[in-house]
Amino acid sequence: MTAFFERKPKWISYVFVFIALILLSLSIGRGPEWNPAEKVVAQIAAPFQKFFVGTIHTVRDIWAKYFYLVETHQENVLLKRKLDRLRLENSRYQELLLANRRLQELLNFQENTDELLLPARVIGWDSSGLFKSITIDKGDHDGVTVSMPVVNAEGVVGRIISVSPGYAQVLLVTDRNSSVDGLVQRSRGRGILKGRGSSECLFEYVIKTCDIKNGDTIVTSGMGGVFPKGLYLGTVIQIEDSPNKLFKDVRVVPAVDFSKLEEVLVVSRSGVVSLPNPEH
Amino acid sequence: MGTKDYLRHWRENRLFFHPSIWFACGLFVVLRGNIAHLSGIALLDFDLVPVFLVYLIAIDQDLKALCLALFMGLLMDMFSACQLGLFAFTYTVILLAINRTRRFFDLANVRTAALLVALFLLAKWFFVSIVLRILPLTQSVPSINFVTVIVSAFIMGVIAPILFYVLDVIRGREDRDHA
Repeated sequence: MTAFFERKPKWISYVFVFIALILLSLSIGRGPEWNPAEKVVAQIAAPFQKFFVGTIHTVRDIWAKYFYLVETHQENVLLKRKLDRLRLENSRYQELLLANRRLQELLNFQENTDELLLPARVIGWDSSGLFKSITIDKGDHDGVTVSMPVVNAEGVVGRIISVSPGYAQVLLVTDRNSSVDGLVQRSRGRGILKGRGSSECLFEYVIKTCDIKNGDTIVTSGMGGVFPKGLYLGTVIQIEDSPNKLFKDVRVVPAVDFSKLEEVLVVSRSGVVSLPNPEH
Repeated sequence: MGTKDYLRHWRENRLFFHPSIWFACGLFVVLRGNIAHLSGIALLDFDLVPVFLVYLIAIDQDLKALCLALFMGLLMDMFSACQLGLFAFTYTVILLAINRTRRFFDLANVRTAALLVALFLLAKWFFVSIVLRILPLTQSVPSINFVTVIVSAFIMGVIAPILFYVLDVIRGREDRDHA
């Protein structure tokens, strides 16, 4: 083997490029889903990410809890958790209230959603720096499958794109390849939230007659079959209505602060946990 | 050969050099996103892989460099939301180009090697943006901020000589031309 490396036949250099090109060509038309070989590598490599993040968090926790205002910190954590929970509940209630009013007027329709929320920890961020994705510590064995929505208390985080037995990769809503069907919560105007690869998103295909203004909340529409209805996507920060364009240009700041993302919830439709019923 | 003899042979002949490079490189690729995110420098592209690759080319280890480029590229593809082969193809093509034009560079000179690392990073982003536009991949073409890429390339060019020195020490060849 060493002798082979010492001889270095000229053609062998091109073989490496050819292998890479073949792999790239084979992946054309396919999503970034992990194949069985990649799943094995992910299972081996992801624990390093988990260990690294765990160590960082442990050091941070020791500093925050033991060296820096023990009681205040714990109280703050509890209050933040409570606030997050109340914000999530408020968001859901607002949406359910609106939906209830509207549907009662029309069909006397009662909406029930069965969802199982699986908590997961973020253990890795995108290696290339070019795309926006994270790795979480829940996978196939925990019931996670491709296309499952991922949320947190603030709103929509993204969707699962690759799964290995113990880990999964999530495409964030800020990635340019992410599209989520959304609604303006106040006016029910439709559009599609597309990532820009930065900290902002675009709410595309908003028709000229749509009633939308700065500060409006964008929520998931439930269309598209991936995200449940009524989850926070973001807030409108800028609207441009050019006469030369078919649609309005709407810039949205995502509901989730991705720089502080540590834990997420994977939403499984097959679950048994019911969201609050507006009638009770 | 006893365990002691084997360990001495391992130490004296620096047999740990290439496994160390592979381990360090792999660990860096896997943890790169975490490091960038947790340190708040996600905007900049601190890629250490080109440093290792240029170093291997400089010490005439072309094939080992190509092997490393292919596998680290694949690892990066895996831990990123891109399609398998994008970075593997990018790394191997750029490395092949450097290898084929190496007679124009004095790679024994650490400054030339550092400049080559910076050029490697610039070429990487240029090549990735071209590949994403030309090939019918499912991914949208991400917007690449070339100002941050140039800044990153400059910083990596500055850091590279230090890493070359560390690699020289690990390899047991501290007599490299640092002029």
